[in-house]
Amino acid sequence: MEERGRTAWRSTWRRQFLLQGCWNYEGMQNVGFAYSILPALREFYRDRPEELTKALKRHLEYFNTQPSMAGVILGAALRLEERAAAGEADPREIGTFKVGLMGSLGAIGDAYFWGALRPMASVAGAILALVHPFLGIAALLLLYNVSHLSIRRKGFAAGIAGEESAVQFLKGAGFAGKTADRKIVAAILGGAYAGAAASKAAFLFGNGTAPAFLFVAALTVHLLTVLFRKAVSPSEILLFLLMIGALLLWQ
Amino acid sequence: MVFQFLLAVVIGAIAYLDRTAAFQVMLHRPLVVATAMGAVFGNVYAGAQVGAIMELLYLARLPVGASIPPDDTGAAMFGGAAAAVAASSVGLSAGSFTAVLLLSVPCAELGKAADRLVRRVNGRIAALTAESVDRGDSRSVEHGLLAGVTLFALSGAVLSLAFTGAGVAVGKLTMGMVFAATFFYRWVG
Repeated sequence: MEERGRTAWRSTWRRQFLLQGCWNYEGMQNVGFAYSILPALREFYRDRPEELTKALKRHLEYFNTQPSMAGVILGAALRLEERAAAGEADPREIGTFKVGLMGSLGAIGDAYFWGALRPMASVAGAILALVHPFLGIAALLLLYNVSHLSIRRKGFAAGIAGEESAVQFLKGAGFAGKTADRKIVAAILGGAYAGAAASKAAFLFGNGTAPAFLFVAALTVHLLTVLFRKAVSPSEILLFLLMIGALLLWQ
Repeated sequence: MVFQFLLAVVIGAIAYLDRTAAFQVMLHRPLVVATAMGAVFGNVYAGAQVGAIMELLYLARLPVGASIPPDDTGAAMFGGAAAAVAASSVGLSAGSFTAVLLLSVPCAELGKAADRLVRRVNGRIAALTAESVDRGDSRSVEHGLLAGVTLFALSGAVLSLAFTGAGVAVGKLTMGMVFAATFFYRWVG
Protein backbone atom coordinates (compact mmCIF):
# COMPACT_ATOMS: atom_id res chain seq x y z
CA MET A 1 0.00 0.00 0.00
CA GLU A 2 2.73 2.45 1.09
CA GLU A 3 4.93 1.50 -1.89
CA ARG A 4 2.03 1.96 -4.31
CA GLY A 5 1.35 5.38 -2.78
CA ARG A 6 4.97 6.39 -3.32
CA THR A 7 4.84 5.20 -6.92
CA ALA A 8 1.78 7.43 -7.44
CA TRP A 9 3.66 10.40 -5.89
CA ARG A 10 6.59 9.81 -8.20
CA SER A 11 4.26 9.66 -11.22
CA THR A 12 2.64 12.94 -10.16
CA TRP A 13 6.10 14.53 -9.74
CA ARG A 14 7.10 13.46 -13.24
CA ARG A 15 3.79 14.41 -14.82
CA GLN A 16 3.91 18.00 -13.47
CA PHE A 17 6.39 18.78 -16.27
CA LEU A 18 3.45 18.44 -18.70
CA LEU A 19 1.16 20.76 -16.72
CA GLN A 20 0.71 23.04 -19.74
CA GLY A 21 0.41 20.22 -22.29
CA CYS A 22 -3.20 21.11 -23.11
CA TRP A 23 -3.13 24.83 -22.21
CA ASN A 24 -6.40 26.44 -23.31
CA TYR A 25 -8.15 29.77 -22.81
CA GLU A 26 -11.12 28.37 -20.89
CA GLY A 27 -9.56 26.15 -18.22
CA MET A 28 -5.88 27.08 -18.83
CA GLN A 29 -3.83 24.35 -17.05
CA ASN A 30 -6.87 22.32 -15.94
CA VAL A 31 -6.26 19.23 -18.13
CA GLY A 32 -2.56 19.26 -17.18
CA PHE A 33 -3.40 19.41 -13.47
CA ALA A 34 -5.90 16.55 -13.74
CA TYR A 35 -3.37 14.53 -15.76
CA SER A 36 -0.64 15.11 -13.16
CA ILE A 37 -2.70 14.08 -10.15
CA LEU A 38 -4.49 11.18 -11.92
CA PRO A 39 -2.11 8.33 -10.80
CA ALA A 40 -2.60 9.36 -7.17
CA LEU A 41 -6.39 9.60 -7.57
CA ARG A 42 -6.49 6.11 -9.10
CA GLU A 43 -4.61 4.84 -6.08
CA PHE A 44 -6.79 6.67 -3.49
CA TYR A 45 -10.12 5.79 -5.17
CA ARG A 46 -9.32 2.24 -6.17
CA ASP A 47 -12.57 0.23 -6.65
CA ARG A 48 -14.60 3.48 -6.29
CA PRO A 49 -15.05 4.66 -9.91
CA GLU A 50 -17.81 7.18 -9.14
CA GLU A 51 -15.68 8.96 -6.55
CA LEU A 52 -12.73 8.90 -8.95
CA THR A 53 -14.89 10.67 -11.54
CA LYS A 54 -15.99 13.27 -8.97
CA ALA A 55 -12.36 13.86 -7.94
CA LEU A 56 -11.25 14.21 -11.57
CA LYS A 57 -14.00 16.72 -12.24
CA ARG A 58 -12.76 18.76 -9.26
CA HIS A 59 -9.37 18.99 -10.91
CA LEU A 60 -10.76 19.82 -14.36
CA GLU A 61 -11.95 23.16 -12.97
CA TYR A 62 -10.10 26.32 -14.05
CA PHE A 63 -6.50 26.32 -12.87
CA ASN A 64 -3.62 28.64 -13.69
CA THR A 65 -0.37 29.42 -11.93
CA GLN A 66 3.31 29.80 -12.77
CA PRO A 67 4.18 26.27 -14.02
CA SER A 68 7.40 25.96 -12.02
CA MET A 69 5.52 26.76 -8.79
CA ALA A 70 2.65 24.35 -9.44
CA GLY A 71 4.45 21.52 -7.62
CA VAL A 72 3.55 23.12 -4.27
CA ILE A 73 -0.18 23.05 -5.05
CA LEU A 74 0.03 19.60 -6.67
CA GLY A 75 1.74 18.11 -3.62
CA ALA A 76 -0.72 19.70 -1.19
CA ALA A 77 -3.75 18.77 -3.35
CA LEU A 78 -2.50 15.20 -3.47
CA ARG A 79 -2.26 15.08 0.31
CA LEU A 80 -5.73 16.63 0.69
CA GLU A 81 -7.20 14.11 -1.77
CA GLU A 82 -5.65 11.28 0.27
CA ARG A 83 -7.39 12.61 3.38
CA ALA A 84 -10.66 13.18 1.52
CA ALA A 85 -10.56 9.60 0.18
CA ALA A 86 -10.08 8.34 3.74
CA GLY A 87 -13.07 10.43 4.87
CA GLU A 88 -10.87 12.71 7.01
CA ALA A 89 -11.41 15.91 5.03
CA ASP A 90 -14.13 17.69 3.08
CA PRO A 91 -13.41 17.43 -0.69
CA ARG A 92 -14.57 21.07 -1.10
CA GLU A 93 -11.47 22.14 0.85
CA ILE A 94 -9.32 21.02 -2.11
CA GLY A 95 -10.84 23.49 -4.56
CA THR A 96 -10.74 26.30 -2.01
CA PHE A 97 -7.08 25.58 -1.28
CA LYS A 98 -6.14 25.50 -4.98
CA VAL A 99 -7.97 28.73 -5.81
CA GLY A 100 -6.56 30.43 -2.72
CA LEU A 101 -2.96 29.61 -3.54
CA MET A 102 -2.73 29.66 -7.35
CA GLY A 103 -3.00 33.46 -7.69
CA SER A 104 -0.36 34.33 -5.15
CA LEU A 105 1.95 31.54 -6.36
CA GLY A 106 1.50 32.78 -9.92
CA ALA A 107 2.43 36.32 -8.94
CA ILE A 108 5.47 35.22 -6.91
CA GLY A 109 6.57 32.77 -9.62
CA ASP A 110 6.15 35.21 -12.51
CA ALA A 111 8.18 37.86 -10.69
CA TYR A 112 10.92 35.41 -9.75
CA PHE A 113 11.20 33.11 -12.80
CA TRP A 114 10.23 35.38 -15.68
CA GLY A 115 11.14 38.75 -14.19
CA ALA A 116 14.43 37.98 -12.43
CA LEU A 117 15.94 34.49 -12.88
CA ARG A 118 15.46 34.22 -16.64
CA PRO A 119 16.85 37.72 -17.41
CA MET A 120 19.88 36.97 -15.22
CA ALA A 121 20.53 33.61 -16.91
CA SER A 122 19.93 35.07 -20.38
CA VAL A 123 22.32 37.99 -20.00
CA ALA A 124 24.98 35.74 -18.47
CA GLY A 125 24.51 33.40 -21.43
CA ALA A 126 24.76 36.26 -23.93
CA ILE A 127 28.01 37.48 -22.34
CA LEU A 128 29.62 34.04 -22.31
CA ALA A 129 28.44 33.42 -25.90
CA LEU A 130 30.96 36.12 -26.85
CA VAL A 131 33.66 33.70 -25.65
CA HIS A 132 32.09 30.59 -27.20
CA PRO A 133 28.46 29.92 -28.24
CA PHE A 134 28.22 26.61 -26.37
CA LEU A 135 29.60 28.20 -23.19
CA GLY A 136 26.80 30.77 -23.41
CA ILE A 137 24.14 28.09 -23.81
CA ALA A 138 25.59 26.05 -20.92
CA ALA A 139 25.60 29.12 -18.65
CA LEU A 140 21.98 30.01 -19.51
CA LEU A 141 20.67 26.49 -18.98
CA LEU A 142 22.65 25.83 -15.81
CA LEU A 143 21.92 29.15 -14.11
CA TYR A 144 18.20 28.83 -14.80
CA ASN A 145 17.66 25.15 -14.17
CA VAL A 146 19.64 24.72 -10.96
CA SER A 147 17.23 27.10 -9.27
CA HIS A 148 14.17 26.02 -11.29
CA LEU A 149 14.47 22.29 -10.63
CA SER A 150 15.43 22.80 -7.01
CA ILE A 151 12.34 24.95 -6.36
CA ARG A 152 10.12 22.43 -8.16
CA ARG A 153 11.49 19.59 -6.01
CA LYS A 154 11.38 21.47 -2.70
CA GLY A 155 7.93 22.89 -3.47
CA PHE A 156 6.47 19.49 -4.28
CA ALA A 157 8.03 17.96 -1.13
CA ALA A 158 6.61 20.81 0.98
CA GLY A 159 3.18 20.31 -0.58
CA ILE A 160 3.26 16.57 0.10
CA ALA A 161 4.08 17.34 3.75
CA GLY A 162 0.74 19.19 4.04
CA GLU A 163 -0.95 22.57 3.41
CA GLU A 164 0.71 24.25 6.38
CA SER A 165 4.11 23.09 5.22
CA ALA A 166 3.36 24.44 1.72
CA VAL A 167 2.52 27.87 3.11
CA GLN A 168 5.60 27.67 5.36
CA PHE A 169 7.74 26.86 2.30
CA LEU A 170 6.53 30.01 0.56
CA LYS A 171 7.31 32.11 3.61
CA GLY A 172 10.71 30.54 4.21
CA ALA A 173 11.96 30.43 0.60
CA GLY A 174 12.56 34.21 0.60
CA PHE A 175 11.33 34.79 -2.95
CA ALA A 176 11.11 38.59 -2.53
CA GLY A 177 14.80 38.87 -1.59
CA LYS A 178 15.90 36.39 -4.25
CA THR A 179 13.88 38.24 -6.92
CA ALA A 180 15.45 41.59 -6.02
CA ASP A 181 18.98 40.11 -5.94
CA ARG A 182 18.67 38.45 -9.33
CA LYS A 183 17.19 41.58 -10.89
CA ILE A 184 20.21 43.57 -9.72
CA VAL A 185 22.62 40.92 -11.04
CA ALA A 186 20.75 40.90 -14.39
CA ALA A 187 20.98 44.72 -14.64
CA ILE A 188 24.72 44.68 -13.86
CA LEU A 189 25.34 41.89 -16.37
CA GLY A 190 23.26 43.76 -18.97
CA GLY A 191 25.51 46.80 -18.57
CA ALA A 192 28.58 44.56 -18.79
CA TYR A 193 27.23 42.99 -22.01
CA ALA A 194 26.67 46.42 -23.59
CA GLY A 195 30.21 47.42 -22.62
CA ALA A 196 31.72 44.18 -23.96
CA ALA A 197 29.78 44.43 -27.26
CA ALA A 198 30.77 48.11 -27.70
CA SER A 199 34.44 47.31 -26.96
CA LYS A 200 34.35 44.48 -29.51
CA ALA A 201 32.88 46.83 -32.16
CA ALA A 202 35.45 49.55 -31.32
CA PHE A 203 38.25 46.96 -31.69
CA LEU A 204 36.94 45.99 -35.13
CA PHE A 205 36.53 49.59 -36.32
CA GLY A 206 39.93 50.76 -35.05
CA ASN A 207 41.42 53.20 -32.54
CA GLY A 208 39.60 56.30 -31.41
CA THR A 209 36.08 54.90 -31.89
CA ALA A 210 35.76 53.36 -28.41
CA PRO A 211 34.19 56.41 -26.64
CA ALA A 212 31.61 56.80 -29.44
CA PHE A 213 30.67 53.10 -29.33
CA LEU A 214 30.43 53.09 -25.52
CA PHE A 215 28.23 56.20 -25.67
CA VAL A 216 25.94 54.55 -28.26
CA ALA A 217 25.82 51.36 -26.13
CA ALA A 218 24.83 53.31 -23.01
CA LEU A 219 22.22 55.26 -24.98
CA THR A 220 20.78 52.05 -26.47
CA VAL A 221 20.55 50.35 -23.06
CA HIS A 222 18.79 53.42 -21.64
CA LEU A 223 16.39 53.70 -24.60
CA LEU A 224 15.48 50.00 -24.53
CA THR A 225 14.98 50.11 -20.74
CA VAL A 226 12.55 53.01 -21.10
CA LEU A 227 10.66 51.31 -23.96
CA PHE A 228 10.45 47.98 -22.14
CA ARG A 229 9.25 49.70 -18.95
CA LYS A 230 6.46 51.22 -21.04
CA ALA A 231 5.63 47.64 -22.19
CA VAL A 232 6.48 48.32 -25.85
CA SER A 233 6.79 45.01 -27.70
CA PRO A 234 10.25 44.04 -29.05
CA SER A 235 8.52 43.39 -32.38
CA GLU A 236 7.25 46.98 -32.42
CA ILE A 237 10.75 48.30 -31.65
CA LEU A 238 12.25 46.19 -34.45
CA LEU A 239 9.50 47.25 -36.88
CA PHE A 240 10.24 50.90 -36.04
CA LEU A 241 13.94 50.27 -36.78
CA LEU A 242 12.93 48.50 -40.02
CA MET A 243 11.03 51.60 -41.15
CA ILE A 244 13.96 53.90 -40.31
CA GLY A 245 16.32 51.55 -42.16
CA ALA A 246 14.03 51.49 -45.22
CA LEU A 247 13.81 55.30 -45.21
CA LEU A 248 17.60 55.63 -45.00
CA LEU A 249 18.10 53.18 -47.87
CA TRP A 250 15.43 54.94 -49.93
CA GLN A 251 17.25 58.26 -49.38
CA MET B 1 20.03 20.01 -47.36
CA VAL B 2 17.10 17.62 -46.73
CA PHE B 3 18.90 16.15 -43.72
CA GLN B 4 19.59 19.67 -42.40
CA PHE B 5 15.92 20.62 -42.64
CA LEU B 6 14.90 17.35 -41.02
CA LEU B 7 17.26 18.05 -38.12
CA ALA B 8 15.95 21.62 -37.88
CA VAL B 9 12.35 20.36 -37.70
CA VAL B 10 13.18 17.89 -34.90
CA ILE B 11 15.08 20.53 -32.90
CA GLY B 12 12.28 23.04 -33.58
CA ALA B 13 9.54 20.67 -32.39
CA ILE B 14 11.46 20.02 -29.14
CA ALA B 15 12.07 23.75 -28.63
CA TYR B 16 8.40 24.58 -29.25
CA LEU B 17 7.32 21.87 -26.79
CA ASP B 18 9.66 23.33 -24.18
CA ARG B 19 8.18 26.76 -24.83
CA THR B 20 4.72 25.95 -23.44
CA ALA B 21 3.65 22.32 -23.29
CA ALA B 22 6.54 20.54 -21.58
CA PHE B 23 9.44 21.06 -19.16
CA GLN B 24 10.16 24.81 -19.58
CA VAL B 25 13.88 24.22 -19.11
CA MET B 26 14.72 27.11 -21.48
CA LEU B 27 15.65 25.00 -24.52
CA HIS B 28 13.36 27.36 -26.46
CA ARG B 29 15.33 30.55 -25.73
CA PRO B 30 16.64 32.41 -28.80
CA LEU B 31 20.29 31.99 -27.78
CA VAL B 32 19.89 28.19 -27.69
CA VAL B 33 17.69 27.90 -30.79
CA ALA B 34 19.60 30.33 -33.04
CA THR B 35 22.93 28.75 -32.09
CA ALA B 36 21.53 25.29 -32.84
CA MET B 37 20.21 26.50 -36.21
CA GLY B 38 23.60 28.07 -36.89
CA ALA B 39 25.23 24.71 -36.18
CA VAL B 40 22.75 22.86 -38.41
CA PHE B 41 23.20 25.25 -41.34
CA GLY B 42 26.97 25.57 -41.12
CA ASN B 43 27.96 28.58 -39.01
CA VAL B 44 27.46 28.24 -35.27
CA TYR B 45 29.09 31.62 -34.48
CA ALA B 46 26.79 33.58 -36.80
CA GLY B 47 23.76 31.84 -35.26
CA ALA B 48 24.95 32.68 -31.73
CA GLN B 49 25.61 36.29 -32.73
CA VAL B 50 21.99 36.77 -33.81
CA GLY B 51 20.67 34.59 -30.96
CA ALA B 52 22.38 36.66 -28.24
CA ILE B 53 20.82 39.89 -29.48
CA MET B 54 17.37 38.30 -29.84
CA GLU B 55 17.73 36.80 -26.38
CA LEU B 56 18.10 40.26 -24.89
CA LEU B 57 15.49 41.92 -27.11
CA TYR B 58 12.73 39.46 -26.25
CA LEU B 59 13.46 39.29 -22.52
CA ALA B 60 10.96 41.94 -21.60
CA ARG B 61 7.86 40.13 -22.89
CA LEU B 62 6.67 37.68 -20.27
CA PRO B 63 4.14 34.83 -20.67
CA VAL B 64 2.04 36.06 -17.75
CA GLY B 65 -1.50 34.69 -17.35
CA ALA B 66 -3.29 34.42 -20.69
CA SER B 67 -0.97 36.84 -22.52
CA ILE B 68 1.08 35.35 -25.33
CA PRO B 69 4.41 37.04 -26.07
CA PRO B 70 5.84 37.27 -29.63
CA ASP B 71 7.28 33.94 -30.77
CA ASP B 72 10.97 34.49 -30.05
CA THR B 73 11.66 30.79 -30.73
CA GLY B 74 10.37 31.14 -34.32
CA ALA B 75 12.28 34.40 -34.78
CA ALA B 76 15.43 32.60 -33.63
CA MET B 77 14.81 29.64 -35.98
CA PHE B 78 14.62 32.07 -38.87
CA GLY B 79 17.48 34.26 -37.63
CA GLY B 80 19.88 31.39 -36.89
CA ALA B 81 19.34 29.73 -40.28
CA ALA B 82 19.53 33.02 -42.22
CA ALA B 83 22.65 34.18 -40.36
CA ALA B 84 24.45 30.87 -40.93
CA VAL B 85 23.73 30.96 -44.67
CA ALA B 86 24.42 34.70 -45.09
CA ALA B 87 27.71 34.65 -43.15
CA SER B 88 30.91 34.50 -45.16
CA SER B 89 34.25 33.13 -43.92
CA VAL B 90 34.91 36.43 -42.08
CA GLY B 91 31.52 36.39 -40.36
CA LEU B 92 28.21 38.19 -40.73
CA SER B 93 28.30 41.68 -42.27
CA ALA B 94 26.57 44.53 -40.43
CA GLY B 95 23.98 44.89 -43.20
CA SER B 96 23.10 41.18 -43.26
CA PHE B 97 22.96 41.12 -39.46
CA THR B 98 20.50 44.02 -39.36
CA ALA B 99 18.41 42.59 -42.20
CA VAL B 100 18.17 39.17 -40.53
CA LEU B 101 17.24 40.72 -37.21
CA LEU B 102 14.53 42.91 -38.66
CA LEU B 103 13.05 40.29 -41.00
CA SER B 104 12.60 37.98 -38.01
CA VAL B 105 9.79 40.24 -36.76
CA PRO B 106 7.07 38.80 -39.06
CA CYS B 107 8.12 35.29 -37.96
CA ALA B 108 7.63 36.25 -34.29
CA GLU B 109 4.16 37.60 -35.05
CA LEU B 110 3.19 34.61 -37.24
CA GLY B 111 4.33 32.20 -34.53
CA LYS B 112 2.25 34.09 -31.98
CA ALA B 113 -0.86 33.76 -34.18
CA ALA B 114 -0.21 30.01 -34.59
CA ASP B 115 0.19 29.67 -30.80
CA ARG B 116 -3.21 31.34 -30.29
CA LEU B 117 -4.81 28.95 -32.78
CA VAL B 118 -3.34 25.88 -31.04
CA ARG B 119 -4.61 27.10 -27.69
CA ARG B 120 -8.09 27.62 -29.12
CA VAL B 121 -8.13 24.05 -30.53
CA ASN B 122 -6.93 22.87 -27.11
CA GLY B 123 -10.07 24.47 -25.66
CA ARG B 124 -12.14 22.06 -27.75
CA ILE B 125 -9.93 19.12 -26.65
CA ALA B 126 -10.38 20.15 -23.00
CA ALA B 127 -14.17 20.34 -23.44
CA LEU B 128 -14.27 16.85 -25.02
CA THR B 129 -12.06 15.55 -22.20
CA ALA B 130 -14.46 16.93 -19.58
CA GLU B 131 -17.44 15.32 -21.36
CA SER B 132 -15.68 11.93 -21.40
CA VAL B 133 -14.78 12.22 -17.72
CA ASP B 134 -18.47 12.92 -17.01
CA ARG B 135 -19.19 9.55 -18.61
CA GLY B 136 -16.67 7.94 -16.24
CA ASP B 137 -13.74 7.56 -18.63
CA SER B 138 -10.68 8.63 -16.62
CA ARG B 139 -8.26 7.67 -19.41
CA SER B 140 -9.64 10.49 -21.55
CA VAL B 141 -7.59 12.91 -19.42
CA GLU B 142 -4.41 11.16 -20.60
CA HIS B 143 -5.66 11.12 -24.19
CA GLY B 144 -6.64 14.79 -24.02
CA LEU B 145 -3.24 15.80 -22.73
CA LEU B 146 -1.48 13.68 -25.34
CA ALA B 147 -3.59 15.34 -28.05
CA GLY B 148 -2.65 18.80 -26.74
CA VAL B 149 1.07 17.97 -26.57
CA THR B 150 0.94 16.46 -30.08
CA LEU B 151 -0.76 19.58 -31.40
CA PHE B 152 1.93 21.83 -29.87
CA ALA B 153 4.67 19.58 -31.32
CA LEU B 154 3.09 19.42 -34.80
CA SER B 155 2.55 23.16 -34.91
CA GLY B 156 6.16 23.64 -33.80
CA ALA B 157 7.45 21.28 -36.49
CA VAL B 158 5.50 23.04 -39.26
CA LEU B 159 6.58 26.50 -38.05
CA SER B 160 10.20 25.32 -37.80
CA LEU B 161 10.15 24.09 -41.39
CA ALA B 162 8.58 27.34 -42.63
CA PHE B 163 10.91 29.62 -40.64
CA THR B 164 14.14 27.79 -41.43
CA GLY B 165 13.11 27.58 -45.10
CA ALA B 166 12.48 31.32 -45.14
CA GLY B 167 15.75 31.85 -43.25
CA VAL B 168 17.81 29.90 -45.76
CA ALA B 169 16.14 31.75 -48.69
CA VAL B 170 16.73 35.16 -47.10
CA GLY B 171 20.31 34.20 -46.19
CA LYS B 172 21.09 33.23 -49.79
CA LEU B 173 19.40 36.38 -51.09
CA THR B 174 21.34 38.59 -48.65
CA MET B 175 24.61 36.92 -49.57
CA GLY B 176 23.79 37.33 -53.28
CA MET B 177 23.06 41.01 -52.75
CA VAL B 178 26.34 41.52 -50.88
CA PHE B 179 28.25 39.90 -53.79
CA ALA B 180 26.31 41.95 -56.34
CA ALA B 181 27.03 45.17 -54.43
CA THR B 182 30.75 44.28 -54.21
CA PHE B 183 30.99 43.66 -57.98
CA PHE B 184 28.97 46.80 -58.71
CA TYR B 185 31.25 49.03 -56.63
CA ARG B 186 34.37 47.45 -58.17
CA TRP B 187 32.93 47.97 -61.65
CA VAL B 188 31.96 51.61 -60.88
CA GLY B 189 35.29 52.27 -59.13
